[in-house]
Amino acid sequence: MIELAASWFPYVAKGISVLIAWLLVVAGWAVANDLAAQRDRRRAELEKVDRLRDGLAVLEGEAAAHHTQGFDDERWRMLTRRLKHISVECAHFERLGIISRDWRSLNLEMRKAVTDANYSAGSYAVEQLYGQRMSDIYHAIDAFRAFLFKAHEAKFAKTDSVSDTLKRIVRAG
Amino acid sequence: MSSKTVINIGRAYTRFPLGRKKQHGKGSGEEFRELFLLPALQGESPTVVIELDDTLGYGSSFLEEAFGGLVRAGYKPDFLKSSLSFISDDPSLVEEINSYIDEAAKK
Repeated sequence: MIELAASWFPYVAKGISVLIAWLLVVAGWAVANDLAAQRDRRRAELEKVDRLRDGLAVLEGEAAAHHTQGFDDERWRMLTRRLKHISVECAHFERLGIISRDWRSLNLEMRKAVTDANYSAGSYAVEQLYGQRMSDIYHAIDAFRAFLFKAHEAKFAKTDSVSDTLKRIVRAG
Repeated sequence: MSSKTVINIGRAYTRFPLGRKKQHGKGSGEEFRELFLLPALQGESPTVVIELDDTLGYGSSFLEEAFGGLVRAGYKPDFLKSSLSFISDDPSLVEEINSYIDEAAKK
């Protein structure tokens, strides 16, 4: 009996070692695949936040032009559209978990700074480029931009460890 | 008797709701309040659903005058918040309107 077991042992041991090696290869592939997918997702999110920051830069220029260069109906409408696009994009990003809901109050302040006064043909007056109204607008846009920088940094800095990735893969089934 | 009114600002009033006072031009908050909000708020327990998304954007001056103006017209913030409900993809817009109702009550 002992002789029989001894004759099988090398085959069983080899079988187990092959199985372990195979499991390690599968686990390694799953981890690498998951990390690559995460990296791609994060890169796409960062690009979205970057595009939004670019949109803020354009908004700043359009707001300055509206308030300091005389009333222009097309520019005024374009500026309103820009503000709406930024809001809708941020709401979308919040739903995706890319940014926190803190954008809402910052966006509110920014829209208010740009459109609360001097925002119709009948009430329009040319403002100074560095007057109080424009300073309020720059300040509100800067606050929003700083928020997006922080969101960008948080996404950029976030990397999962291999063990975190393994746990997530196991949880996902 | 309770009544329910649905107002789609973009379709029923203007695609560009931007200014504050009627004398400042078309699409003002004052005109919207007088033409749509005040009639809809008549009655004992009105329900007014306001759809915000079909415009091409909003000016804060319009929002303040339309909704903050309701408080200045004598409506209590609690009554307005229980009577008005908003539908929008932009939650910051709804927060902004509520802030104008609260701020107008403080003044």
